[in-house]
Amino acid sequence: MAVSEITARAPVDGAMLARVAAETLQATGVTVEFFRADGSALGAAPGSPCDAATSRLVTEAEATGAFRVERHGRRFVAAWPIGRRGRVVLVATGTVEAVAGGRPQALLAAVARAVCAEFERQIARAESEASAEALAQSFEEISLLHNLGKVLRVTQPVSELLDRICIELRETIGAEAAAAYLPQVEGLGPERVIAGRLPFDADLLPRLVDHVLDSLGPEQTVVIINHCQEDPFLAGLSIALERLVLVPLPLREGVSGALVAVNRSPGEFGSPDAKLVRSLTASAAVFVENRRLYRDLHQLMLDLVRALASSIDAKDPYTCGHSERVAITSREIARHLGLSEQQIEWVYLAGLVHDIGKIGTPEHILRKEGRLDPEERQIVQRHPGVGGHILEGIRRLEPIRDAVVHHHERLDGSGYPDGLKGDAVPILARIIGLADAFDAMTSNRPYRPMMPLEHVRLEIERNVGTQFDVRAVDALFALDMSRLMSQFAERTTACTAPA
Amino acid sequence: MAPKILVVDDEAPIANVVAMKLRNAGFQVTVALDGVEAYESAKADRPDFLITDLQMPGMSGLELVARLAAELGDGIPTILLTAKGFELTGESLRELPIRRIMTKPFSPRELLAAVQEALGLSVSS
Repeated sequence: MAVSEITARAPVDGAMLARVAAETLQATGVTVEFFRADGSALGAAPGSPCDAATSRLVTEAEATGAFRVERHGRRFVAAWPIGRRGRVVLVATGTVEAVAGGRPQALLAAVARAVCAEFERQIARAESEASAEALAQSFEEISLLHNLGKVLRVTQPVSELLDRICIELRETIGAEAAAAYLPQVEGLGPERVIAGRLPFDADLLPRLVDHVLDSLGPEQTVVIINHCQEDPFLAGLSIALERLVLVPLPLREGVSGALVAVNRSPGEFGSPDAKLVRSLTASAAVFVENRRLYRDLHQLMLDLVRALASSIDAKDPYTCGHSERVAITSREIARHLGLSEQQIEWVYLAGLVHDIGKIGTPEHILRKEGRLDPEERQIVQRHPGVGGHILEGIRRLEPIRDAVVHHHERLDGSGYPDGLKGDAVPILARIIGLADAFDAMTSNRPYRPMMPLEHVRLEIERNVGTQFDVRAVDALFALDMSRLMSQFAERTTACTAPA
Repeated sequence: MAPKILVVDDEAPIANVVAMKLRNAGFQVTVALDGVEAYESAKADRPDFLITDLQMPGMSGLELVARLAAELGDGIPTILLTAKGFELTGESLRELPIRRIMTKPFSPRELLAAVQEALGLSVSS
C-alpha cells in the first residue's frame, strides 16, 4: 500500500510518522517503526529491511488487530495495529533492549497506547484543518454567490455580469487570469470578458475554449488541466499557459461558451476550484438565459407595438411609415437632449403609438383632401384622448400615456385636448409634437406636397416658444439629416406608394 | 512577534475558519466562543486585534468592544461581523475602535485582507 493510499483514508504523512518515532525514542528509548500490513517499512526508513521475526509479528498484529510482544535474546519486540474507523491503516513496531530492573513489556504496551493516541490526535487535527479549509472555501463561494445575487438584474448587459464574475473568480482562486467567452448567440452578441492578464493573445481564447470543449467527455462538466504543455494542441500554441480550469457554459442546443481560470502559482487547480467555477458558470448560464428571454419578450413587445402602429398608418396610405419616422425622430431628439436611456426608449414607444387613437377616426376624414370643417376637426382632435384610453391598462406602456395624450398641446396653451401651457406640457409630448409636425412637413400630404428642408426649418422656427420647445427644436436641427433618412429607410420599407 | 488576534463567534465553525485563515497567514490566534470568554481572555492577555461576531448570547460583540475600550484605555482595533440585514448606526459606534463591519456571509479572504490592512501590513495576494 502506498503512502498516498493510506493518506487517502487517513491524512498522515511520512514526516509525521518520523517525528512520532523520533520523539518516542528520545522519551522512552524505544525504537518505533511503521510498516504496511505486508511488512514493508513506512515513514522513518522507507524500504528498510525487516527481519523474518518482525515481519511475522507485523502480520500477526495486522491479522489479529491486537498488541503482540516477543523476546529475541536481549531485545523485546512488539507490534500493534494502528486503526482508523475500524480498519487497520498500518502496523507499528517497538523495539527495546532489556535492562536490569526494567519492565520492557509494560513499557512497550505504554508506548503502543501513546503512539496510537498521538496518531489519533494528528489525524483529528489534520482532518479538522481540512474541514476548516473546505469550510473556508465554501464561505468564499457563498459570499461570492451572495454578492453576485445582489447585482443580477435582467436589464443589465450580460458583459457586466461576466465582468464581475471574472474579477471575483480570479481573486477568489488566485488565478493569473479568468475569462468568460460566449460565442455568437441570437440576440446576444459574442462576449469576451477577461480579468487579469491572459498569458496569450485574447484572440486565441475562442480556439482554446473550442479545443478544450471538444475534448469534453459526455456528462463531463469541468476540465482541469494542470500540465497544459503535455497537450499537443496547447503546447503547439507556444504560449505561457501552464494550467487551467474550464467549465462549459451551455447557451443553446449544441452551443457552448465557457468560464475559464488560467495559471496559478503555486498550486495546481483542484476540485474546490472546479466547484467554484461550476457554481459561477451555473449562475452565469441562468442569467444569460433569462437575459435572452427578456430580450425576446422585449422584442415581442416592440414588434406588437410596431404592428399596432402600422395598422393606424395603413388607414391612410399618405401617412405610411409616419409612426415609425416620428418614433425614430423623437428618439434621436431625446438622445441629443441627453435624456436617460429609459426616457429615450419611452419616447420611441410613445412615438410609435402617438396616433393610435386615430383607429376611431373615420377614414373619409383622415383621407380628406382639402380643409376639414369644424365638426371634422373636432372629431380628429379626439384622437390623442382616445389613444390614452386605448393604452390604459397596458402597464408596460403606462409611462408613455401622457406623451400620447398631450402630443398636440402647444406651449402657448392653444393646443388640444387640455390646452396645457409651457412646462405643463410633458417633455416627451413636446418632443413627439415636434417630430410629428416635422414629419408632416417633410412628407407628401393630400393637401400639399413635401416642403423643402429649408422651408420646414423656417416654419418650425417661426413657431418656437408658441408651439415648439426651443431646446427640442435646436436638437432636431442639430441631427444629421441624411443619417436620419437612412434610419427611416431601414425601418419603413414595407410601404406602398399611394395610388 | 506575530500580532495576536482574538476571534470571537458563538458559531464554532465560523470562529475556526477565521482562526485557520489567520494562523495560515502567520498570526497568533486565540478563539473564544462567547463574549464573556472573550472578555476574560482579552483582559488576561491583551490581543492586538479583535474580530467579533455581533449577536452572541450573554455579552454581545458591541458590549464586548465597549467594555474593553472602557477598561483598557485605548480600545482594541476591531472588525465586527454581523448577520445579513442587521443595521448598525448611532453615535456609540463612532466612539468605538471598530475599523470595519463585515456582513455575513463574508469572504474569509476579504476578512484576512481587511485585518492586514487595519494592522498596516502589506497585503499578500
